Amino acid sequence: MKDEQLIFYIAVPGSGWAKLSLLLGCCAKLNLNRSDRREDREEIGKSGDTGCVHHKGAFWDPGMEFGEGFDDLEKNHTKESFKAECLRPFTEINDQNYLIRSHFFAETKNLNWLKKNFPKNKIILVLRDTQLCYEGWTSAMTFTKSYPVYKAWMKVRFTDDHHYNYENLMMLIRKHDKMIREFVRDNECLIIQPNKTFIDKLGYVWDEEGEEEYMKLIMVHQFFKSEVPMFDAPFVFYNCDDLFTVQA
Amino acid sequence: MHHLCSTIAMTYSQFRHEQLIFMIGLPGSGWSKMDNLLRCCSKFKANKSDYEGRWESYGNNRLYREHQGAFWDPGMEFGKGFDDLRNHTIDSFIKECLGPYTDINENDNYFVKSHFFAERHNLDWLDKNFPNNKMIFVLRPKEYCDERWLSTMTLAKHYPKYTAWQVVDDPDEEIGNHNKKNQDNLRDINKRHDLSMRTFIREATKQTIIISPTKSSLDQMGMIWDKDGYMEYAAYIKNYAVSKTLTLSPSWDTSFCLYNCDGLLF
Repeated sequence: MKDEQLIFYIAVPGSGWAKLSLLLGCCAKLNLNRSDRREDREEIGKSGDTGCVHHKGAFWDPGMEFGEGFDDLEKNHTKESFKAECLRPFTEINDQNYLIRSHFFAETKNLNWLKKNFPKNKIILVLRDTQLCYEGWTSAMTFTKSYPVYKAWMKVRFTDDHHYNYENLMMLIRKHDKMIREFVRDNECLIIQPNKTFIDKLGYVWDEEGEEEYMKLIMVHQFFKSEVPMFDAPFVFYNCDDLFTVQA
Repeated sequence: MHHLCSTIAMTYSQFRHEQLIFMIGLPGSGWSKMDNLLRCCSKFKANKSDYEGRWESYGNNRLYREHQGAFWDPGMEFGKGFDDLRNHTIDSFIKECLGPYTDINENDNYFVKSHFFAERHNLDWLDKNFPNNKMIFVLRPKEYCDERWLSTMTLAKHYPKYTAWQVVDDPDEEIGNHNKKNQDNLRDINKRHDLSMRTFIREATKQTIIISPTKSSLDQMGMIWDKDGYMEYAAYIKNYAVSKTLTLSPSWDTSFCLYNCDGLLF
């Protein structure tokens, strides 16, 4: 297992990052391992069974099934313990890549730690307006009754609906959004919207799953509270030059 | 007269249709700065001979020029009949596009920026009559565009003139002071153009890449980081990428869609 097989995936809650990560899962060039997927690691959202699964696979954040101590990587982990935690949900370890999804990677100290300890690794981020993120998350998710659980965003642990929890969620969304955007400002990054042309460049596989994930992007994401396709949640690619190399 | 003759000569002989690059965006989207920024990228081979004498400074102490170069829309210096391109033949259209350029040659490309290209019938006309041409759309949330334009521009006192967006007399005495009917009309036209642009992009059958102008993406397109290049990039960041909360973390809310531009980035 080479360090570079870990791809770090970062965004704020409500950005649609989970759905967008499922698109990446259909891209042959990323060659992502999916052995973290299980029935109990799925979420259909507050609106109930619309045939649309929004969350699939593992997430890594404090209070979730994986990612204990990911709020401060330097303080809580060695490089080896971090790698072990990243790989823990995967049942197959092979030469594929592993997408590690964590909101708290967005902390500037964590981004710096990742860059220092994994200098060759890809980092993929998602940008979206913070108000849309907040509305997106609150319209689809709960703090403790959905998958994954968002305990680390709560101020008042005994009830989901306390307004302190929502205020804290918004505060953390804004804080992490700012840190992500500063990272994008200060590093060599490409910001690209996930449309058909682009995912085809990444070797998108248009099988049944691929069609389904793409439809989710169109129907649920790009038209959220809008009558026009907003293209408002682009990917950011850092250290991903080889993905965009044109094959001779 | 000499210039006109050379233009016509080029139009009908050596000039290739593909040398026109169509630039489309809403008023207030930052498209003018995007145009100037992209013209610093060597891969576009953009001709700049329309810049001479066409810009707005809004005061004496500005480090960069606003609205540099020609604009093509009804009521502006160029672009007569561009609200409905079906008014034009291909040749009369090319002639109007090349009108402001004083240096027309076989090697360069010529940016032609028009808000009214965003009309659906115009996008279809361009796609049908110029199937091999590049189009560049500037995308920004419509509300930001409305607010930006209405608070910083006049309809007729500055360059370029936006009289085609005007329905009644306007105070226009100071920037940002407009009659309500004119404000509503601008918002309505922006709404229509925003919808038609985004729908065209979503339904596109040709290559479309939507990307934000970071240093990396500009480098991919051969950005020349000379004095002009740095100035244009700084102007873009200052005006369109810094968030309203002044956190100094760029909002990256303006992007451009490269249509039929395969090979430019990847």
